Amino acid sequence: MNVSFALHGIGVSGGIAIGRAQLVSHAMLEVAHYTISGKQVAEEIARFESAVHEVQLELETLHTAMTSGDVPGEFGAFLDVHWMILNDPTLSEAPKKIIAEQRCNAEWALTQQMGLLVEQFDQIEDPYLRERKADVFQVGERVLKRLMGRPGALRAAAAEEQTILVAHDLSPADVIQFKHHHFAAFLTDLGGVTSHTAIVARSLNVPAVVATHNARALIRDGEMLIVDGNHHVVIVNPDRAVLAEYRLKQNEFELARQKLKRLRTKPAQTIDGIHVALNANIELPEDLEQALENGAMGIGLFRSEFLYLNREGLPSEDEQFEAYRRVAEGMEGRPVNIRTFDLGADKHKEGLEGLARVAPNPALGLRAVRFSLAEPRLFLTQLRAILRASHYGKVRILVPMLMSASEIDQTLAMLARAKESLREQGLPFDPHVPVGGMIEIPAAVLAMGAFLRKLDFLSVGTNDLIQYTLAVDRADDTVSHLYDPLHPAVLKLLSLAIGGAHKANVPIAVCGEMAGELAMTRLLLGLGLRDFSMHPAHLLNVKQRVLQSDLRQVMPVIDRMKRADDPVRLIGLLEKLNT
Amino acid sequence: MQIREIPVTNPHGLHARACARIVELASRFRCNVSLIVAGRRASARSIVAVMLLAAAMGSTVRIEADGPDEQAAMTALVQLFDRELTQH
Repeated sequence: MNVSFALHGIGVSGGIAIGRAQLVSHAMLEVAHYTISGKQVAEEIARFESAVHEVQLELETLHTAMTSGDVPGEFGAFLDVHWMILNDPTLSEAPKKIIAEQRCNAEWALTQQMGLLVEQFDQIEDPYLRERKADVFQVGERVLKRLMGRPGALRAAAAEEQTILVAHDLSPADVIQFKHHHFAAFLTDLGGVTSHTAIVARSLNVPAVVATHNARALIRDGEMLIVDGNHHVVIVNPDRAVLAEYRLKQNEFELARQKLKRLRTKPAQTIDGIHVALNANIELPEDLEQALENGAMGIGLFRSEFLYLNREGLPSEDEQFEAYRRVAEGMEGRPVNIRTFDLGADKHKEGLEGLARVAPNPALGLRAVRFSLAEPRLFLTQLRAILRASHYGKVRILVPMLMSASEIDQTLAMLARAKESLREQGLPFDPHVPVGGMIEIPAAVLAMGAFLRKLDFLSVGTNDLIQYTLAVDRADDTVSHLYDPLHPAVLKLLSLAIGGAHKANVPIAVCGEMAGELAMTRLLLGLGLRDFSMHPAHLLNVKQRVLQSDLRQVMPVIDRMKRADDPVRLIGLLEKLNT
Repeated sequence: MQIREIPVTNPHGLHARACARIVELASRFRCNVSLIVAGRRASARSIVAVMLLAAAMGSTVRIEADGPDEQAAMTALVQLFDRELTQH
């Protein structure tokens, strides 16, 4: 009988999942070492060779599947590199020598050789070239998994059994691939509320708990797990009573979810008759369906940078245009805010020259609009693609991380150039396409005049605004407890931004995480916000909260919150607001 | 023996795909091709060895081709460097 225990982390996506663990592992961590007799050497070498051969076939099969399916471009080239690494003598020959010389098992020989190679890569000064060790590592790992009898491909979950993915950490590329496997929940050692695991788990509407520190080491493959994203907890090997209790909770949660669905077409209006716009944040054109299912009135934020992931080259204008047009048409005349690339910082992308180097402080470095302005060709391509899509729906352009009037001017000049070039070619677009700016930097709020004069609308990205105001990286779990949306400085900035925009008659929305947090709905309403944009999974919950809110009761508490500067008192007032 | 020195001006240096192309090309010839960067030498038939040269932007790659079809190999390699690796 396996011992039952609980793990705590951060629940970044709500709901309850019950299923078997599937570990996504770095196989190297678990390699056994044993010696073999002289007679067994030939046999061990043969075993190694057949593992290499199997991986060869595996890569070739993948390659065929990729070139025929609808896989992001140039994925094939990536596989070619892997195929060549696999056939490189340093990987396919050197371990055989080690087996013969040290009389050790093939796994151990390969692990040693990989360690040697990784060590050499680690000495490379150029960070981009150094990171190529990942390719060598991945290829070696594939062979290792073959040797250990566990092929690298994720097995498909049995239909009647739910599978929960347990990993140390997931990269954006991993996560996009996992979108197509039907995991019931995600569990990672690292990560925070805004990590990629979190974002994707929410978009798939499956529970996720991150920052568990050592889940990956403590949980064994196939163990029964309960993941409770609402309460930040994971129960490993639950006994029958606990299991029964959670199955009940799971049903209740599902029932509540069904009930919410009935609110889909109901207008979002407070008890005292204030209308509120509830829009969706999406990442891929495919997310549109979920947005519509949850009654989104528009797309408040279409994060275009995901077009860049899982591929080596840059997306062409036509490719971008198709993606944007799909969303514009899909919304049938309702607004779609396409945000220009917010590349940089956490969304590091190989293949983009300006991002090849690792910036000393990426969050404060060349990212978002700064990057776009530094790469005018790339920016122009995107602006042209967005403009062309504007012919097919109500498209608006949203520019991330603006900080100064001159950045706004440069952006508008680029847009004018893009329009000019389209005119010359006779391509149709909406000449009055509105241009909005993201308010993410405290400076933008404190010097908002230029923004209000030059832009058609504003959208507050609270995640970055809070990060920059408090100088706290929420993905860093040594300081993430300091991240506080209720900090008096944050409230002051929000109040200034919303109030300032209203006074100037410029529409303003909030599209950060805060907009989708139930506990914050009334606070934001009280600060004057009438336009929320959030992950589609939160739309109906927030709508329900709006329907149950009365500004006449909210306002007196808000006035007290605006004056308060004691964190404990602010938490108390927020609770009062939500009861 | 044929010898040429080529500066790397691609911001990514000899990136993975470029390494793959070099190795693929060099493997088509019978002569031995070596690449030398900052005094370190690698066989152009091993992608891992070429990757480990870590030829970043601003470095110089010395190509040495030695064998029966060295002339043809060198011409092809120089073309490849020109086409793929001196810009973008």
